[in-house]
Amino acid sequence: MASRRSLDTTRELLLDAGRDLLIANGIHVGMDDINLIDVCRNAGLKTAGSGYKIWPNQDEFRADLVTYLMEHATASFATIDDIDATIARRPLPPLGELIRTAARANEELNTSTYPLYVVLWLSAQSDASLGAVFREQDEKWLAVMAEFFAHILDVYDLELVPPFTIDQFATAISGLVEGFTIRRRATPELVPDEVLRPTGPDGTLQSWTLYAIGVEAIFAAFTRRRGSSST
Amino acid sequence: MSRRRTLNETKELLLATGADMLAGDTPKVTVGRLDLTEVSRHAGFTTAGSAYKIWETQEDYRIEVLRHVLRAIPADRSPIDALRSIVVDDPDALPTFTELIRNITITGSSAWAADITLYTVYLALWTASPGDPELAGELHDADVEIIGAYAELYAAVMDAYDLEFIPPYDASMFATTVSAISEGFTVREGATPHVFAAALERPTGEDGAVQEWSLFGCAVQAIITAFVRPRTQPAEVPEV
Repeated sequence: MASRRSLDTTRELLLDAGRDLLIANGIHVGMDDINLIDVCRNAGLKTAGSGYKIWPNQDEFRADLVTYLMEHATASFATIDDIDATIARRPLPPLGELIRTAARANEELNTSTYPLYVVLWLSAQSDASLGAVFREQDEKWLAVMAEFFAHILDVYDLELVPPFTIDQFATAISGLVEGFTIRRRATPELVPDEVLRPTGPDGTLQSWTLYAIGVEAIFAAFTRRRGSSST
Repeated sequence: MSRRRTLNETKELLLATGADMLAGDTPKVTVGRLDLTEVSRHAGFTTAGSAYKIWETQEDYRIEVLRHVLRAIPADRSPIDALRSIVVDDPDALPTFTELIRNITITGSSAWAADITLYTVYLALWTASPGDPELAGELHDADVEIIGAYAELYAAVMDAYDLEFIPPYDASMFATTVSAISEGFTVREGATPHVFAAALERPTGEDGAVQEWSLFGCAVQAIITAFVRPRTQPAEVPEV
């Protein structure tokens, strides 16, 4: 038992060291230059022996690192928990208000975790076996997001307008936040911190992000009141 | 003088070869697999010795190739040209606005964001840019230029269809949002391609006829619906 715990601890130590090395190398190169010997050295181990007790070869190490990083790159689970708590309360906040506040929180979280995700995405494009691991993890993430959005639609008594599926709806909103994360770093002056709209009580001005406005637009076009025949 | 010119020529050759391997008509490698020895061989050298006289490390070389490719991206203005030719060059034969949106988005998001290979290069540079202010500046300037060109074109489209942006939106916000959708959808398509595989059939044709849409097109239409309305005031006529 002690020995197993020790292997788990070593695994986590080395996966953390792999992530650090990836960032230190310049993450644009992706996973190709990450090897177990360097990682072990970076983690303060004299040899790579402990590493090879956990992973029989480099490919398995890199695949495990992708899984580990994907799990840690999805920090927006925190937003999901917050939103779930918000929509469990009564009275239910208006959908527009939920979108306005949740979108901003989601955008802020995404800014810190997204560059690492992009590195994994780039590696997945160049390496078939890493790509398979990456896509498996992304499928799991899509399933979580689809379930999350299905729950929101239920709570607000909405349904998808045919022919849209919940996967397409979740993908559209995920794509939007990803695109804005890229834009905010590349051209910050084109993405205003806030856009003031008269959406508050009695038409008072409220602060929106362009992303939140986009999410509201996707909701308006892709969903409708349950049982109605138009949006 | 002659030796310096030779080094410059070697440098150009190795950059062009790397760019072709990365983003040519038939890309052979992606950024992380761009190996200087392999590039040298493709360029006709027997070893990578000459290359290492120019670049200290493979990393230095990779970044420079990426920049080399990036400079070609703003040159791809085919989506802008295609839209302009429909809306500006032949205003008497305008399709319906819905048909215009459907048509220019039907090929999906990656065609809109230039090319998936070039976009992969762009994203690689994007991840590298925080540690390289000069690179960040180059990316920024190229992006501002291309999004500005789109914003200008969208304003012309609004005019052609007698539409206007709903305050407080403007052409720049709209162009930035469409760019974000295009880029984010390109990433999504690379991660979960099956979500994008089938065209969406919607009754948007004449008399409710079913037409094929891309998911990207549906998202762009959603944004247009939120940002745009029929013009409420006559267009301003400039004073003579």
